Amino acid sequence: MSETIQLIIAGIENGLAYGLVALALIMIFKTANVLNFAQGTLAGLSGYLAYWFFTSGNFPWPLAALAALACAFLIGIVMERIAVRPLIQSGFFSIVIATLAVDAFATNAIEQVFGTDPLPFPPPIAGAIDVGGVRLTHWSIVIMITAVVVLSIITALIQRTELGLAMRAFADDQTAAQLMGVSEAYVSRMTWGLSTAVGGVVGIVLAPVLFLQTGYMNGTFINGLTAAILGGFVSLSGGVLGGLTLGLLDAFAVKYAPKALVAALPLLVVLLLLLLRPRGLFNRQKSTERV
Amino acid sequence: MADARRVDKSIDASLASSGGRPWWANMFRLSDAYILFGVAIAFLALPSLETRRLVVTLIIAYAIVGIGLVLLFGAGGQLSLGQAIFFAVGAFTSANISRQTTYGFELEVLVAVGIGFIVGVVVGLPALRVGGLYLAIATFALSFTGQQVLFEWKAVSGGGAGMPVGQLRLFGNVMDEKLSLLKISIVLLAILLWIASNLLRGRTGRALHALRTSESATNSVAAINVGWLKLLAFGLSAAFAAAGGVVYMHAISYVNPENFDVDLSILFMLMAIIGGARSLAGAVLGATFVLGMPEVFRGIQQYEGMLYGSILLILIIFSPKGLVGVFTAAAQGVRRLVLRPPDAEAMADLSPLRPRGDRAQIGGACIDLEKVKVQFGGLVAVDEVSFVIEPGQVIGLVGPNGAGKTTLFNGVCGLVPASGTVRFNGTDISRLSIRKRALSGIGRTFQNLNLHDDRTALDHVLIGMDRRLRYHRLAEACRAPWVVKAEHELHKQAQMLLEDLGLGHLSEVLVQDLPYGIQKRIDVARALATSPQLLLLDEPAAGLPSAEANEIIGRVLEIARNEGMTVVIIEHNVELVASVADRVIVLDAGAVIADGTAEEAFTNPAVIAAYLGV
Repeated sequence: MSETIQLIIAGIENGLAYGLVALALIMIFKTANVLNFAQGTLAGLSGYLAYWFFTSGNFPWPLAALAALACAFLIGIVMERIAVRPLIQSGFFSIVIATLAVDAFATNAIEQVFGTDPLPFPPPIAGAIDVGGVRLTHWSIVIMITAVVVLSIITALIQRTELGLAMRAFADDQTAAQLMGVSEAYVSRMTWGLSTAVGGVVGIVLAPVLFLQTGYMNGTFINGLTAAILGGFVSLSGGVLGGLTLGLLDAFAVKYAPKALVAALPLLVVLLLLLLRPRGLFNRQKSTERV
Repeated sequence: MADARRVDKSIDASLASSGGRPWWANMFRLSDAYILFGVAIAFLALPSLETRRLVVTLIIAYAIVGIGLVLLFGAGGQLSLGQAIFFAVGAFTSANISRQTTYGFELEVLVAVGIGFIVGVVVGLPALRVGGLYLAIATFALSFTGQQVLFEWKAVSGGGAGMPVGQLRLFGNVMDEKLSLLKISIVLLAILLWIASNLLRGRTGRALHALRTSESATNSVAAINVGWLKLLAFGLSAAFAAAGGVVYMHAISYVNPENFDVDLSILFMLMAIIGGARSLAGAVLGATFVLGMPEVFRGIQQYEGMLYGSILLILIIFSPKGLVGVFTAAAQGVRRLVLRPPDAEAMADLSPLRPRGDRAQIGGACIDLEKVKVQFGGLVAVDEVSFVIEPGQVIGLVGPNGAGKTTLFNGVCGLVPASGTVRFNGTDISRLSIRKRALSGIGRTFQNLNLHDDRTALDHVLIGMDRRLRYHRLAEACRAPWVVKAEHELHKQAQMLLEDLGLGHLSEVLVQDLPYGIQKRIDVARALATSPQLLLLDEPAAGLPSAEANEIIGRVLEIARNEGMTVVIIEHNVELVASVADRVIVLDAGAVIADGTAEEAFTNPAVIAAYLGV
């Protein structure tokens, strides 16, 4: 019993991380109708930046994390300006390829600055609690709380603020939104900044778990993508639900399935889903094919 | 009778003078000469390549992967981020064959290509259901998880430690000379380039280009099964990548799953785009650039990602066709200076239609619509429309903007879901797929043209005639004589159709370089090329000066009547409709408000009210 609970908790913890990545991807997809393939690497970059502020800058860790997030936000904005804005006319594949170019660039830059060897990043809060045989590290609790807080912030931002309203208007109908005076450039810039920062949160909180090394966020990114597909790529909550589903599936597969199958899990989920339910599991709306 | 025979003779004469070479002369192409020339140069340069044989062999391996991407991405427009895994499939297949058997390179390539093709098709399966973005995701997931699977599948891959490979053998002989791998690779590259160029020039290449530039026209006019076409493209690109993997495996003679990561998949894509994904030369150029640069400038190796990332960004913004595009743009600039562009502005000269022996009476279709209804959410665009059209009739479909005319066409073609029944020659086609309806004999044009950018006028007619071809793709790949003959015949027919529409002199011009009026005519030509029994013309004359409009519609209807087609034409010019249509149907707000002769329809008070908005 306690073993099952342990698995469920691990699943929720990973699932929230996947869900946040999915959320970041869906934000971009809904407003710009493209996919940011550099999302994982940029999330990793945030982890490295937090590490750097923490060790070299001697920042206290919450401040180091916030500083890294601010950098991530700026990087998102710069990326939008350099790699996305000039290509808006040339269509969606060009932008997707541009994000791949950014990905190659960032991966290489990280290697050059931080090296290719894994960097240990001990959890700022060590220790664990034990409740009836279920072990829960303090850091896991931090991860889950952070994820829920970020989710609430983003939801509030989108539901309650003027920027959120503009983003929703934009996602709904670009032309109409522009005609109503919503600045396309502003919405796009903010969306890329925010999305990169949301991804950055995941990169930072997972750094102590995964160790900082080249491509340490790749796995989480793939699972985030899969979660987004599970959610049908349309609603933010769908992405989070998809993340949780995948996290739980993953946790139990690790326990009960052969290793090669666990490795192939995201691919299998993606292939099956695209074949059987291309609109996602949690998408009741009859979405029009946008691609 | 004697007259007709004289005309026929003159057609033959004009064909003979306009490049009417015997069909077998088309067996040889300029691209073959380039390939042979490249092979000759490479073999002459062999001694000097000795110290660099590793990097040259790797360039060849990457170039072979690039060829696959030219087919899949450059022609077909499908993004794949999984090529590293197909590459690995080839590498590990050949590693295991070379270790465990005494068969050589030839079998390794064949098996790798076979397995690669199958894996590619499986990964491409979602293509049957979803569009490009999701495929990019599926292949990306493949790239990541495929490597993990390889790490875990130790029996095949050697796991994290990797595994050494066996000797290089060819047809039973051990090849241990230093340069033998390089020689074999050069020949393999040449063969694969030849195969790919055959495919690109044949119906497969045409269909892929059409798919990239307008999927809906490819599906609804050319009646090409786009799902299977995408699968084929994935399979082919994976097969090429696997062949590249075989070369790679022998070059580094030690394989490790570690080498086949997501970054390699991305590098392949960057390589293809940097070189220029539209042409085979781009594949070779891209591979040479990506692997050659670090060889020439030793210091930059560690900055590869940043360098290629930046180059790609610059190229994709300023020269989307890659390095090859930079060269061809320069060459075209020179050519434009030297040669005058064809005078497309001139009114096409429509000489009287020539009677032709092969102009078979297709015969018109009988169309029976029963309560056809199209609804978008709460909006009823077409409201229970019913009418019957007799074979061979020319119907004018008119009505104010937003009356549902185009939507009715789309409903008949299956592009939008419609309830009710559509009978085509008595058979209910309302449950059939878009493609099956097109195949049953519906040809159409589009209000927004849906032309295939970057393709010539002739290509548009050829894609429309695709269904006339019967040859197998394997025969196409190795350019069998009967394929050449069929292609030659098809080109001849296509050229004749273009001439019938006064476009003969423009057949080699890219459509985006032509004026709007000519583009409209090309859209019509593509529809006529499918030899439809029912021709749906959606405002074929909109935006044209009235003389040109009368001329083009007159000619199309002349062809249609000659062949007995049934025609439905949407047109706003009332006079024009009155002069050509046997019968006029007026739609307003999705419903038929008048149906009869032009005079009856246009004097009907309801019609006048609808037009004047009273």
